[in-house]
This record gives sequence, structure tokens and C-alpha cells, in this order.
Amino acid sequence: MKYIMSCIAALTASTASADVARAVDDYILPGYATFAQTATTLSEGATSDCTIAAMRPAWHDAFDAWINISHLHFGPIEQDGRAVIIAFWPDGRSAGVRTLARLVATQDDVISTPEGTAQLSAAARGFYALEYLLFDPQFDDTGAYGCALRRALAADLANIATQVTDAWQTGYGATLRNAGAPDNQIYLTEREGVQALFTSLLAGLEFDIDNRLGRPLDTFERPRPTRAENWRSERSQHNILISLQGLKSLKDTLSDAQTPVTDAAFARAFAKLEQLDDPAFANVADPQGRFKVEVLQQTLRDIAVAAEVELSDLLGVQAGFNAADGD
Amino acid sequence: MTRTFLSAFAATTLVALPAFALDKTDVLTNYANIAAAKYEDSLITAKALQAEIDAFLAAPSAETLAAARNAWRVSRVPYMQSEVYRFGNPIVDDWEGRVNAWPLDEGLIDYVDATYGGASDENEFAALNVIANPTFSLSGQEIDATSITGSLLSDTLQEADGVEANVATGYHAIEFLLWGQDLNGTDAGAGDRPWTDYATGDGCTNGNCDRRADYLRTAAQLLVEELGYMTDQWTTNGDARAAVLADPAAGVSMMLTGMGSLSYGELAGQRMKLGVLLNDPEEEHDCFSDNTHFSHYYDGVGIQNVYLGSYTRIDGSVVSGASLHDLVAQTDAGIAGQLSTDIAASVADLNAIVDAAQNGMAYDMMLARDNAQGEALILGAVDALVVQTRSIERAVAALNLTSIDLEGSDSLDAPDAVFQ
Repeated sequence: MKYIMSCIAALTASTASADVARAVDDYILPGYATFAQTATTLSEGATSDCTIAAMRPAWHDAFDAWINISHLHFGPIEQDGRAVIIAFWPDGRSAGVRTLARLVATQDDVISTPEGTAQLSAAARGFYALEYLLFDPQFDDTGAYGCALRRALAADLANIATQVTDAWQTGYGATLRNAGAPDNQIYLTEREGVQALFTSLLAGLEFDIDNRLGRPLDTFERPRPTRAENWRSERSQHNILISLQGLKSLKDTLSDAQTPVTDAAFARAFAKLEQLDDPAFANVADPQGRFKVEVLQQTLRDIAVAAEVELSDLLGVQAGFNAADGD
Repeated sequence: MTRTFLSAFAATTLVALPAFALDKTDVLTNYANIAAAKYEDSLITAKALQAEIDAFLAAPSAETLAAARNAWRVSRVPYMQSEVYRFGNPIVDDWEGRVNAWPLDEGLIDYVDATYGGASDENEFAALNVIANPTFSLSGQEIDATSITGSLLSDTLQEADGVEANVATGYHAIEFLLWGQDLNGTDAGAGDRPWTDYATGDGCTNGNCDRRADYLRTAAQLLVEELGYMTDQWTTNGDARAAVLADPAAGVSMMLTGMGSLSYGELAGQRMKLGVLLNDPEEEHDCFSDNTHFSHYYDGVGIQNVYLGSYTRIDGSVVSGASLHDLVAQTDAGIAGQLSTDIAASVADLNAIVDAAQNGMAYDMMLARDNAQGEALILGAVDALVVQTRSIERAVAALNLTSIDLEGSDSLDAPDAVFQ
């Protein structure tokens, strides 16, 4: 396989099959626009009705929109820690819930202004903080302060989503689309633009495998269902679906190249997800349930291996460093 | 590795500096020589730390505790410079958690303040306190900890229950035993453990001073053993040296992978940016001792001396030879020069954090919710590290270091070694 891939690489121009502009126009920009729109709907809805029941559906919609593009860890989302603020997970030291509980206990009025809310710990902002407030019983009866806190966090999230989307629409989209242009200070060659997107594809798969699936699975002897992402809102399995759909769109818009092995692996993963009925990955605690999630994890590994093999030579790039390269 | 060997090697490489085209193997040999020197320096300073700890435990006092703390700070200087070897070299990466795992749930080891809380969702043993509990149950097994042995710390308590925050060995466990918790939040001050926590007889504070002393003594011994092991890996016949030299292109990839992963995901991300975003002093790397500014700085210096191929040892001697900078410059002088400039800039920014800390604004104070100046200092260095990562990626591209094994998935099997 390696030998064959090298031959193909030798025969094709290095980035001939990559289409960064199409990925920007057909996937990234619409994805961010939907994110900004749904986050704004969540915030505006909270202004008129801040009850938990009213806010939950809009929170789900905005979260779907985020996960679709969440693997794009470059550009405006990396400024001012926005990606971390929007989605602080995993939270191994429970910093989010500890900070939220302290805010509620002390009725801290730092949240009375947007500037004050923006000073909060990142762990107490964004989607995962809102999940605690909307789905953890300890925050059910927090009265007027709870309402103000939910509104403040929703408004903060909408504000960031809008800023990021504006930045993509008014400048960064063009910067990426014109990778390699003489005046481009960020992407010195076209290849660097392709590499940013290819790195996002592999990093997104890696995050699903290691975190979204790997954390609840942990070891056979010691599965950890309460380490699943969003187990409180029972979105754990759903997040994998949305994430894979986003990654597939990224791959398809980035390249016209024939990637039969990658495509087949994606198809297998979608089929597995259809068969699986374990919304919070609670079943990882028993051997049979665990096996099903392990099989799903393996299909994601297959996608990653295939994408790396099929795409890196065809696109003429390899993955760059990603934020998960630490420990 | 003996010092004689090292000096001999350094002398050879100095006179053998090629005036003609550089060979990757020369660059890699120098890289391995520098690793050998850094780990041997770490071993030497760890032995000095062990000696001061033994002296402190033999005659506990404020003065002997201060001497042990100082030896700990000194021991961090060469070790942090070695961290650039972590991510590219599997032999180092698989091992490093035994000496530098972080962050830790220190309640596993000893008493903690009431504000620490107890067992958490993530860690059932966050408040186990082995020093106060000679027997306890761990994942259904009864553990006999009446005697605090190296095996108890390394094999039973380290990562107990599969939780990484259960850190029982290494620099940070020792740091906690020397300083105690820093309860000052984002205000001035480090941990303030009284020396009487190790006093004998009635003078003992906070209970179990003898077991605490046993723990500290054992942890220091383990650190020396572990660093001895890693020093051996880089000798002429060492496995880590062999792994680097086995395939020259792969070896150069390992160098750049280590530099890039430390710059970006680890230092800029996990250790620096996250603390600012969380305003959480527990997110600082050396949180008990408030030595974080130096730890970050020497990480940066380590990246620089690997790139420039020249390391100044703790005794002042220099190990140098064919450099990665010169190798890149052969292909693209522009990228090689830019990376030099970028690294110099990040080292300068990290140095500015050291200056601020030494002038009274400790690293944890920089993390305070309303400290705009501190935040700007940290994020300035973060930005510089991100910029240099881009140049490292350009160096990888310039050297045309293609994937060595496309069959596997390095980005997944070894996420820290994406270029291998």
C-alpha cells in the first residue's frame, strides 16, 4: 500500500486535488453562520423565557451547530481562547461545576454585565457550563439568580459565536481561500492552507476516538460512563454522529480525490451509529454494551488511518501540530 | 554514562564541525549527546536534592528545609531543558510521567486544606492521604501501606485506579512534600509547609511525621533511580540514542516533533493558556513552590538549544556540534533564520515572565481574573510559541520529511509524534 501511494504521489501535482476555496465556501462559512444564528436564537429565547424547559431545545440546536465545525482549531476561534471558552471539556478537575456552584452560592453579581461574565473562568462559560445549569438537578431551583446566570452565559456564547463568524466572513475566509497569495501573511503557500484543513480532519477524528469514545470506555476492568461527554443531556452518541457528518463534509469539500477506503469507513461508522442505541454511553459499564462502543471506536480508527493514507499523498501534505499534542 | 565519555564526545564534535554539507547523522549524534548531557545533569542535581533531603530529615529545621527546597529548584533547571525530548522520543514519553506527572490530586499523598474537597467524580482517591492511612482499600483490594516503599509509590499509588491525577512519584510529589499546598489563591505567596511536619516526637505537626519522612525519602530515591535509567538510554549503547540514529530522516522528524509538540500543545496550550482562561492557580505547573516562571523559561531554552545544537551544562561546559538550524539552512536559509528569530522571541517573552515574577508578580498572581498585565505577559509568550510552531512546520516541509510509515496512523497511535 505504501509503495502504491508513493507512486500516485509521484504522478500527481502536489496539491492538484485540493480545493481550499470550496471547503471555505461550502462548509466552513455556512457552518459558522449556522452556529452564530442558533447561538443567537438560544440567547434571545432565554431573554423572553429563561426556564430550563424552554432553553433546552435551543441549547441542543446550537450545540449541534458547534460540533459540526468544532474541529476547526485555527483562525478566529483560537483568538482569546474562544474555542476553550465555548467548549471546555474534558474537565478533569471539575473546575466548571465548582465555579458555577460558587457563583450560585454567593449570588456573585459579576454576571450582571457582559464584561463581567467575560471575566469568568472559561470552565464556567460556554456549552458545558450551560449543560450543568440545564441538566444537573443541583441547579434546578436556583431562582432568579439561576435565570440571570443562564441568560448571561447564553448571551456570552452568542456574542463569541457572532464575533468568530464575523471574523471568518470579513477577512479570515479570504485569507484561507487565498493561501499562498503574495500578500498572505498567514498561509505562505497553498499547501499550508490545505495542511490546516487536513490537520483539522485528523485532529477531529482523534478527539472523537480518544475523548468522546475513549473516556467512557477507559479499560475493560474500569469503564467510566460518567466520563462520557454530555451524559447528563444524553447527547454522547449523538455528538459522534454530528461530528462525523461535519468531518465528512470537510473531507468532501476539500478534495475531489477518489478516497474509496475512507468513504467506506465513514459509511460503516454511520451504519454502526444507526444500529447503536446508547445515547449517554451508559452501557459501556456492561461487557456487551462496551463491545458495541468499542466497535464504533474501531470504525473511527479505520476512517483516520484511511484518510491519512489516502489523502496525505494526494494532497501533498501531512498533518501539522494540533492542540492535543501535549499530554 | 560517565562524564569522561561525554567530554570526550563533546571535544570530538567540536573539532569535527564540517565545513561541507551537513550530514543528518552528525546532527542526530549531537542531539543525542545533548540529551545525554541534560539527563546526566538532571541525575546529578537529583542526587544533590536527595542529599539535602536526607540532611533535612536527619536534622529537621527551617534552615535544612530551605536548603532542600533550594536543591529542588536547582534540579528543575536541567530537567526542564530536557522536556524538548519528550514528545518526539517514545522512550522518553512513555517514561516521563514517572518523574514529571502533573497536575496532581495531592490529597492522595498527604493532608490537605478543607477547601480541597474530597473524592471527586473523576477521582475516588483524590483525598486518600496515604501518609495518614497505613491500610486502605483500592479498587476492591486491601493495600498494606504500613511500610512506604518504592514499589508502593510506583506500582500501587502512581496512577491508582487509572486516574492520571493520582501522582505519587516525581518532582511534583516531592515539591508538595517540601512546600505543601499554596493556599494563597492568586495572591502573593507559595506553599508554606512548616518544617515541623517532619519533626520527631512531640514537636510533630499535622501527624504522621515519620511516615511523611519515609515518603519524602522514598520519592527522592525513586527520582534518582528514574533519572539514572533515562541517562542510560542515551549512552553509546542506549536504546533512545539507537532509536534516534536508526533512520536519519525519522530522527530529524523526532527532533522537530519534540520541539513543535512542546511549543504548541503542551507549553503554550496546557501549561500557559489554559491557566489564564481558567483563572485557576492550581493550573500552574509548579503550583506548590511558585517556581513556574523558571520551569516555563527552561522549557523554552531547551527548545532553543536543541535547535541551535549547543547546550551549556550545569558545570559550565558546552556540548555542541552539527545543528538542526544548519541542516535547515542548507535547504532554506530563510526558514532556518526565521525559526531562530521566532525561538529567540519566545525565549525573550518567557524571560519577561521570569523578570516580572522576580519583581513581585508571581505566576499565580498573573492568573487572577482582573490582572490584565499578567494576562498580557503570559499570552504574549503563548503567541510567540504559536508563531514558532508555524516555523517548525515550515522547517518540516522544507526538509521534505515525509511520513515514515504511512501504514499506521501515527497521529492516532502516537498523537505526540505526528511526523514519525
